[in-house]
Amino acid sequence: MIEGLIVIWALVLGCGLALWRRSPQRIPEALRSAGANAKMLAPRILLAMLGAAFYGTLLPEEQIVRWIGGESGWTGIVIAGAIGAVMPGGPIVSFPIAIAVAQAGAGVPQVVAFLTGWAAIAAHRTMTWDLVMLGGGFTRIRLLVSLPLPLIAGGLAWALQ
Amino acid sequence: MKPPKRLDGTMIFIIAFASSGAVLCFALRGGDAFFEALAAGFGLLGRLLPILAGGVILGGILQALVPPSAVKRWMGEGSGWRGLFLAAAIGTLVPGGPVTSFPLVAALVAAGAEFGVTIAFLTSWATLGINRVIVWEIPFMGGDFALTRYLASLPLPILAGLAARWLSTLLARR
Repeated sequence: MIEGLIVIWALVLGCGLALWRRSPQRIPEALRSAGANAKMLAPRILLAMLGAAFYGTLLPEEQIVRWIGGESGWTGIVIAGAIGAVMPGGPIVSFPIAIAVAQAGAGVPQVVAFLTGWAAIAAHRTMTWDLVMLGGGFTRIRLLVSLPLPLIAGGLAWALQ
Repeated sequence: MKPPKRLDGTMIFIIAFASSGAVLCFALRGGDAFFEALAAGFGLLGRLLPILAGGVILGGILQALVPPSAVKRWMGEGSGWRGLFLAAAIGTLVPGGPVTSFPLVAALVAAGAEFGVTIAFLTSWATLGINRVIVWEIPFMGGDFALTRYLASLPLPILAGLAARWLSTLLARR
């Protein structure tokens, strides 16, 4: 976790410096949007973390290991990708769930497939975003070409392990 | 990133998620497990907080630093392999949720941007977004996992873009 801390604050420093040199008059705007975001995120993150911790105690570990554990292979990748695809919500919900599932014994390729299904297929996004902003034709093709992506990413992660 | 609305669908889902988890944990696993989970949740939150705070500030800075018009200019008429790779590269840099990326894509489509390029951009933003990796994935899942997933996802935007091109010409021909 310390690497993440160093990377992020180095980026804050570097990008902040760039903004200060290029357009210092936009700094208040940057801080304002950061503040608004923080206010919105804080209660959500708190509740999502607690929810994931509670559900972590309820997860049937043996079942998870059998379905999407390291030994589950392609079946596990397909199952995990499908669950990810229909997961609602943003990273606030999906990452606490991914960490809980990984701690319960899910395999790396399976967790990769889960996160790819959630991010790339993203059934929850089609209603509110694809369909509304880009129309039915676009949505249909985007869904079709995204379907194999969790399998590809999961398979490659398996090969990389 | 997202408009600060207090009670939208996500918030309601999270409240239901947390409260049902609390009730089920207490009912099925007992008081000890309940308080252990509570402490574990707050403990993880405490460790993540300094990173998340940096991420939120970074998001604000990036929004002010990278104007959407610049992204549009670079992706506008790009086609062929160059267009796909460019769209995939830019997709990794666009911070924020669908609120940031979809208006951009809608504007691109309206300006006559090529289909595969748009799909490559969206897929890249969704699976290779650097902002999300730094703010969410590394803190939650660790650097090793993040690296493996990132490497495994590198071909996805190009594959999706090519497939979308092929599919759209196929449908257009019929």
